Amino acid sequence: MVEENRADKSFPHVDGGFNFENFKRNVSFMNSDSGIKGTMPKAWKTGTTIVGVVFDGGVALAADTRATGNVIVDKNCEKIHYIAPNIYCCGAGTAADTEMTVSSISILQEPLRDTHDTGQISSQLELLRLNTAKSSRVVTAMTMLKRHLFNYQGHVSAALVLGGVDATGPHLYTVYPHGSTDKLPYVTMGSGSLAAMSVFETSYKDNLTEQEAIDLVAEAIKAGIFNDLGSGSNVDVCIITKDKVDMKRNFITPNDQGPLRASISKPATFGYFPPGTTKVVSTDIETFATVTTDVEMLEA
Amino acid sequence: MASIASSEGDRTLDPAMQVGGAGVDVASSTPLQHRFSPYSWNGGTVLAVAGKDYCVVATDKRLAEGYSILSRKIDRALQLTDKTVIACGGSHNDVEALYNHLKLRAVMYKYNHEEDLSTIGAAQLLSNTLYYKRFFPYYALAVIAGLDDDGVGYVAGYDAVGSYLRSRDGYTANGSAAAIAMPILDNALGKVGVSSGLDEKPEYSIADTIEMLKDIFVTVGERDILCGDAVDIYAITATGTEHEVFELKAD
Amino acid sequence: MSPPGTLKKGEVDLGTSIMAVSFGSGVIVGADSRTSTGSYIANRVSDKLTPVHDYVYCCRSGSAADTQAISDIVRTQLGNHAVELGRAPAVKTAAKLFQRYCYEYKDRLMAGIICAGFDPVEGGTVYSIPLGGAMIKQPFAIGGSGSTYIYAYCDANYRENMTRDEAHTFVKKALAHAMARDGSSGGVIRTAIIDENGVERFFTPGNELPFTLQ
Repeated sequence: MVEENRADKSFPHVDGGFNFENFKRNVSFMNSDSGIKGTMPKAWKTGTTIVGVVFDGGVALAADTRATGNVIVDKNCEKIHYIAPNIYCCGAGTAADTEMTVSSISILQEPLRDTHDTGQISSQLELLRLNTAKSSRVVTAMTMLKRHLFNYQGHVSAALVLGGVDATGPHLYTVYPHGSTDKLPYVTMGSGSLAAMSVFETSYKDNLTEQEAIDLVAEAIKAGIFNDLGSGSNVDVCIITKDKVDMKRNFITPNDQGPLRASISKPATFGYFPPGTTKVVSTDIETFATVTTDVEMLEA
Repeated sequence: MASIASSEGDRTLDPAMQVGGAGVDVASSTPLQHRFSPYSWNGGTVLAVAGKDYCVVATDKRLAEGYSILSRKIDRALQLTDKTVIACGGSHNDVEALYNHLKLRAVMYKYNHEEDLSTIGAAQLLSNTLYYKRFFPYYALAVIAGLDDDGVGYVAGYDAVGSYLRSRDGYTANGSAAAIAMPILDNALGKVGVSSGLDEKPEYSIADTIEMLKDIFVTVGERDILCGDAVDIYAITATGTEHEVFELKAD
Repeated sequence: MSPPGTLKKGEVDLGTSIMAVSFGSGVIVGADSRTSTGSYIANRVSDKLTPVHDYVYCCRSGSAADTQAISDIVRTQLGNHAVELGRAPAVKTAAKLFQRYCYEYKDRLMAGIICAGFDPVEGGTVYSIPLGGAMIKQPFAIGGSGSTYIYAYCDANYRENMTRDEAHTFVKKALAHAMARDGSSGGVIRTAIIDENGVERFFTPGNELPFTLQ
């Protein structure tokens, strides 16, 4: 009992869901004339291009790998998330929201008794599979995602491309931050979605082969990478078929800076720090312990 | 049902064309004001380095707005005289208006005085021109580069309303990625207030300086989304100005 | 908070032309297929005709998220209700469920719904549930932003006792005119005929819209 009381005092009781205790304080900060106004931290966005296409016997998902804050914060991030062994999901929008909504690791999943409205779809699906002994369906994931996002009325800004193959065949959905969904043979999302969609609208046809689908999604992502400033770096592709998932991380790397650097013959002293670059102002060594190397033989 | 999304405001305008009429009470909702903004933010990074008898100024060729690329080969630099170049980031409409004005003034100066405007003179002219519009500024973040009256490299950076400073250490950065590029320049070239421990900073040749600036632009382009596509490099010496274009990544 | 009856920033709008007409032995529901976010068409082949039970459909207009959420709830409730009842539910019951949510949450929703279907007691029935959450039984109903352009057309051309084919032509033609004038309607026409035999669905491609006058 004593132990429990101590634990209660040390850690705030968590029931799951979000903590809003600083909301009013932050509003007053934003409305005040003090220096703190306008300095609220900015969330990382995955100003993104994500796409998906259904092909003969499967689904191809693809994403770029740029994450943007005030500068590019990650040049090779992963935007294709695991949902279930047969279902994956590309995320655009606020990085934290996409990851927390989709992924299995989250503080919000903490109390298992209260998982009904706290997202973390892959964890919930895992439990559902254990309970039902059946593999997950894409509609189930889609419904969970849309309920979670509708519940938060657009404040959880995750825009998703959800794809997978289940007992009923291949399925591809988009899920919008406010909780609406669309089911289509080819979809794009994120700031580069218009660039990517222009590729789909010119080149898509029904019953693509797997290879054609891979080439098409890669081309769509490249359109986003080069024409949308929010997207950049590499192309990740994920191919989901009936009994196999092929995650092609960095499938294309069209933005290697190596050749560019190699073409520059910069002076040897530029960016090179010779020994002694950091000046030694003074030296003071204190002895805390004496290490001896004497070995004493113990009698047998 | 019927709704017209506003492109500027953060709310949706709802005209009284709702079917059934059960929409917004237009009279009691707060009025929305839509104003034309004369400025845009088109990016543009400018770096300049001065040497004993030369000056190099480099600026990227990407014209951007929001998440869109408007051009991959815009000219941001103005060759004002044989030994003076000006380059600006900021709102490109203002940059062009500013350049047209400066070009005119430089030509008029030549007619009146039968010689080119000096770099130092151009620097003061640029300052006066910017300050002339103190209360409706040119949104131009300028750098001037050239040779001074003694033939020594001269670089100066400006704010949008004409405050300018000739760089003591002979380098400056302005525009979109200035904050990223400046520490690199400090480290390579800075003598004042930089405690890298090297007593003597090396003196670089004009060729080395050009290569260094290329490398810095590659670095900066990795982190600033507005910087990329290509760089215009102007190398100014007593014999004239040489121009080259260096390609950057396009993502 | 944004005023009621407006979309939140970035919300998906069904920008829509929807319609339902009852004829002698059943109803016809119809809709365009455009879903937009601002000026971008997010889906050019959307299906705004959503089944809530075997013989009851709804046509959705307004916020895509709101109307999907409502119709999902109504579908489950109506399904449970039908199991308890042991027979197909009345169209009025479905419409009443839509009204319950549209009225209760009118300050938080942007949903204009037409609920239509067939039941053995009333035959083909059309209910309109506009923005405030009223529930109006009508011989025919139109809705969505595109409907404003075709009120006069519908008033002039609607007749009681139309045949199934006449009603079908009427719906398609009215929608074609709405889609032609309304920027946020367009794409293809989707229609469904619901009568005692079940539901038959039709598709009119965008290049075959019956726009011209005969």
